[in-house]
Amino acid sequence: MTSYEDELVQLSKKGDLESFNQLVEKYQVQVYNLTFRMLGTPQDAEDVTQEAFILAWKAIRSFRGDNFRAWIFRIASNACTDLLRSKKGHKAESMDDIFPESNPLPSSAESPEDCALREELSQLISRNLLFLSEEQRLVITLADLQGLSYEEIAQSANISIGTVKSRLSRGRANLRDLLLKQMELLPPEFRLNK
Amino acid sequence: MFGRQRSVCHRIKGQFSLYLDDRLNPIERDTVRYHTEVCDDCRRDLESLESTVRLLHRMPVAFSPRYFTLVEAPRRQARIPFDIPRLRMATATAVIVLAVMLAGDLTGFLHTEAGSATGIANNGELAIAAPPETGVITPAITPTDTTTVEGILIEAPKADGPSSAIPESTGIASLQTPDGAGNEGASATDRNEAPQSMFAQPVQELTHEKAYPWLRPIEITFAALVFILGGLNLLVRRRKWHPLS
Repeated sequence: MTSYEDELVQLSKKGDLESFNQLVEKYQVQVYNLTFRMLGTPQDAEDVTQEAFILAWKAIRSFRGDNFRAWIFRIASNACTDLLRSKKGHKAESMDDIFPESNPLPSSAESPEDCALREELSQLISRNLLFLSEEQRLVITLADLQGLSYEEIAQSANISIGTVKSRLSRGRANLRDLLLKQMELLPPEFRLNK
Repeated sequence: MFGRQRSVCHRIKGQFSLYLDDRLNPIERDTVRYHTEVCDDCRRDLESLESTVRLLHRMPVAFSPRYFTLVEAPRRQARIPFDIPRLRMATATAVIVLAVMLAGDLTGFLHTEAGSATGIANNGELAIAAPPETGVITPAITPTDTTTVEGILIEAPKADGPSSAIPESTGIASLQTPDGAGNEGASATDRNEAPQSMFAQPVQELTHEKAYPWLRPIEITFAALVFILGGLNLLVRRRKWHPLS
């Protein structure tokens, strides 16, 4: 945590909403990405992201760590778990309900075809991520999509580093097996050889 | 031989994820590298896993159409000035102390012998010492004493004459000073009864032990403390749910 971020946290603890909102602005995209990958629908992801920041504001005085990002991810992942548990048994009616749009921003150097391909690939992976267990999905999302270190993942998911390693290893292998079944949908350069 | 090879491959494959993240020590890394050079099956496995991780890294960032900044500060949790383990410890300590005191009180461990001749027994009855061998009744109340028994004012009789504020009909023994000023001292409901037998029963009852005077207030204080701490525990437990828990 940078000294500026630490200062924002200290001010937020004293009740400065403006400082807290600066932290929200800094992490809202990452938190939204986490909830979106975990839940699969933009609406749920938005609700849970907002809920996570509200909970963080209410509980920030109890924040004692030195990694605000890991802390906010932990709040968000727990909120996701709660929602998924409450929704257990209420599966989406069709796959079209999941990932209707993820709003990727096309880069200027990218052709429309590439952009469409990337979007298609994203949806394919996101869809398969949902077939993994919540624990494996969380660890993969934090490691491979958010770029957190093993130590940060352990803090965010409240598990040991050994558990992070085993969940990541099994999760990646399971995802690979799922993608292998839909090899024809993958771009040629990513065709998985097995 | 094939079984041993399979177990080696299984162990190596379990390290692929760490190998890709560069989390293996040099010896383990070299072992994986060497094995994948000689084992086609493991090499294909590693390549497919590597492709999967590359795909994940290529995943685009999802942007939300809205901002999540807070316009108005939501009400914060009330700050609890103590943490839950300490509260539990305090409650448990209070319960144990209260239990020890109650047990000591009920078993007489925390009682004193002083109650036998102090005038008032534990149950509020008048304490009277056993009559002396001469048959003269020795009252427990001095001539200047005044006390209340069962709501009736008892005034010690003056030395110059037998008198008692207790009517005979109450059934409570009237008292007399030891100077023998009146023969009617120690009058009871039935004057014809022998003094010895009249006092035998009350003396036996009233000479039992008496609780220390400080015991009851402390017991009550600790009972109140247990009640308050128990309530706080329940309150905290209700508010305990938290996304961090």
